[in-house]
Amino acid sequence: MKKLWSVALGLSLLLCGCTPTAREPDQLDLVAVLGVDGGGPVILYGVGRGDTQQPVRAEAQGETFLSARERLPWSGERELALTNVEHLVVGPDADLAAVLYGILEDKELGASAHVWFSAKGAQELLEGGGDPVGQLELLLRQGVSSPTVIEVLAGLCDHGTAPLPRLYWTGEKLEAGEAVLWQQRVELEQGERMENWGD
Amino acid sequence: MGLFEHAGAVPPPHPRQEPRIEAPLTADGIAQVFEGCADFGRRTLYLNQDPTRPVEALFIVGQVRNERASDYVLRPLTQNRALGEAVDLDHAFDLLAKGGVYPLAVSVRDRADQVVFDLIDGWTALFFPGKNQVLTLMTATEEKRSVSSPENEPDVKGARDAFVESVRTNTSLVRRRLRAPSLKIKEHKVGRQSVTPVDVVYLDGIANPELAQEVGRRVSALDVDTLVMTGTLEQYLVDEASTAFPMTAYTERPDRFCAGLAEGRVGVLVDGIPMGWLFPATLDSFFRTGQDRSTNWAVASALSLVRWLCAFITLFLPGLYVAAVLYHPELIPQRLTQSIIAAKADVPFSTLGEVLVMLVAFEVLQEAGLRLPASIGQTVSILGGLVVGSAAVEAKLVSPAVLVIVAIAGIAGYTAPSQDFAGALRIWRFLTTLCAAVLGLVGLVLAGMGLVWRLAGLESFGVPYLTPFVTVGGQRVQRAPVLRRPLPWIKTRPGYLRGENRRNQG
Repeated sequence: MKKLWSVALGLSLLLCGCTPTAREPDQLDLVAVLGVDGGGPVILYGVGRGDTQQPVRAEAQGETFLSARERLPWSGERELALTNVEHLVVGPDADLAAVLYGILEDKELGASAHVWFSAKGAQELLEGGGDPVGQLELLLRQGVSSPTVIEVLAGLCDHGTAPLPRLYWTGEKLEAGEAVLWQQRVELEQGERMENWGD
Repeated sequence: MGLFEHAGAVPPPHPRQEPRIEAPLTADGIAQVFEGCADFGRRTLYLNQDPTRPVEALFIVGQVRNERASDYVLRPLTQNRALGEAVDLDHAFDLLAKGGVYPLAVSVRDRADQVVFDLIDGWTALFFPGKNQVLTLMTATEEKRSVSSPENEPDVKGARDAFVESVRTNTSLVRRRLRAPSLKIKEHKVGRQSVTPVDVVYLDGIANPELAQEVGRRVSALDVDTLVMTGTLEQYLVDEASTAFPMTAYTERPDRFCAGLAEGRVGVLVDGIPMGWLFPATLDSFFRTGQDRSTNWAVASALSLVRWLCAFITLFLPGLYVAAVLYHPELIPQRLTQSIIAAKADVPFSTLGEVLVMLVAFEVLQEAGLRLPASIGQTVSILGGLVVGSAAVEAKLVSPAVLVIVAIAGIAGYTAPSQDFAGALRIWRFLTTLCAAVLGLVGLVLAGMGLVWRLAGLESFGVPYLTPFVTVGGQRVQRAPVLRRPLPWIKTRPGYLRGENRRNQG
């Protein structure tokens, strides 16, 4: 009887739909850079490296950051994994605080991604030039400092401002210009958007 | 046809016959018992060459040492003039029992089964016509494998002797180390057909007398056909035989056996098996080596830590890999994830399939290496390692990462001093991997909890198996489970053994 109960309990746990879904690694494309444009609707751009070393690109749109993120599951036949996002590029009209909170709430996205700013929008930066993933990694190796998600959020919570390095293309090369001071007052609970951005 | 042997109709148990041999106490009666035994010998002798005083000498060739029987028994029997001057056969019997013959041990027997088993032990029995007592004389051969170095428990700084198949030699190895007369050796005969001597060994005044009594009770209650394999003793004596984890700790090293006795444990030595068992067995005893007490405490502690760590690695690493790759790729650094993805793209099997196949292949290689003679076994291991290793990777049958993970887990398992324990960990490794494949890290944690739950339900002679990680009798065990303190600091024996004398130094 005890065994029967154990089997029944185990089966009910397995079949309840709460179990996580396995994803074979060869069916995944890792997104390395996530771009965000717009405060509502939000447009996400994912760029990653596929197994052929060619950049994988995907785009999704939603009312909020999380709803757009939910619509970004596939790049062709392969599932996009946001587990290894290393760079976050935000455009001038993005609701940065909402994006940062969304990242913290998401179970896959990590808070250690570096945050960058593109004055012409994330789309222009991620789709307008060469390999953004390689160029961003190169910038970091060159010593360009960029705050992480959690550092930016802390800055916004504490001071209402956070410096973000501004990116732009020069031919096939990505350059980091003078940092812009993003201004947005947030509370520990998600606060109201105060202003957009400024130098 | 199933995995296990079909029991079929089991005949009802039949009680053990006592005495085991029922025969008249005469030379003919005993000869009748050994009818059809080519090694049974019988000879009529005249005391002091006097044909009016015949005696019958019975013996078993091969069990008796010829020189000892000839020089110590036959020669004085036939040439000792005092025997010829004896008033009658009773007087001669008394003279023989008191020194007329020269064997070290002489017994007067009045039951046939005593005589029969003395003969089997290599003694010579002297039958006097018309007398209802028999004189048995110790003339047993001492042919046996000489004491050699331990093969499975080498020790750089320790003694070089190991137990052999003769229980009496083994007790002498123990007695030479524990010279106190409080070392008690209680002998039991086990096995209806094998009648194997089994010695229960303990230090009186140190070991818990109830524990010694209980071990003796279980040994004497063993009612099996034969006791020639280690498993017979292990599986019949323990509280829980259905678990994969070993419930008895054994050693082939007399020094380690003696250290266990001095700790307050009770030992068991079996004739024909070159090892000794120590009861009770607790989890930490499977992670200790004989070398631990020989080396510096810091080194011993560090090595102990490594062994515990390796146990966790061998148990959980394949499962952790499966869980991380299938469910939690965020746990893996990006570059490693990318290389795993790239390598996996060419492999046609699922991650779980790869890991399971490699784990099984590892077991197959190990089993093949063990069963074959050493020289061929090494070749098989090397060839198998190459084939299953690099060739399988080149053939895109498995990912390099899986190969490395399984190899690390497999090699980590070999650090366990007890291979029985390592075997149990290998079985549970499959379970943890499967759980991780179903539920990811949650499954791995659940498997770990299941393991702890299983181990927590085990007891060895009233002592929880998880000792010293758990309380015993509501009291915390004052003993470092993983690290070893300097020996002068360890002033007491383990409390959970409930010994009579806990202080182990002045």
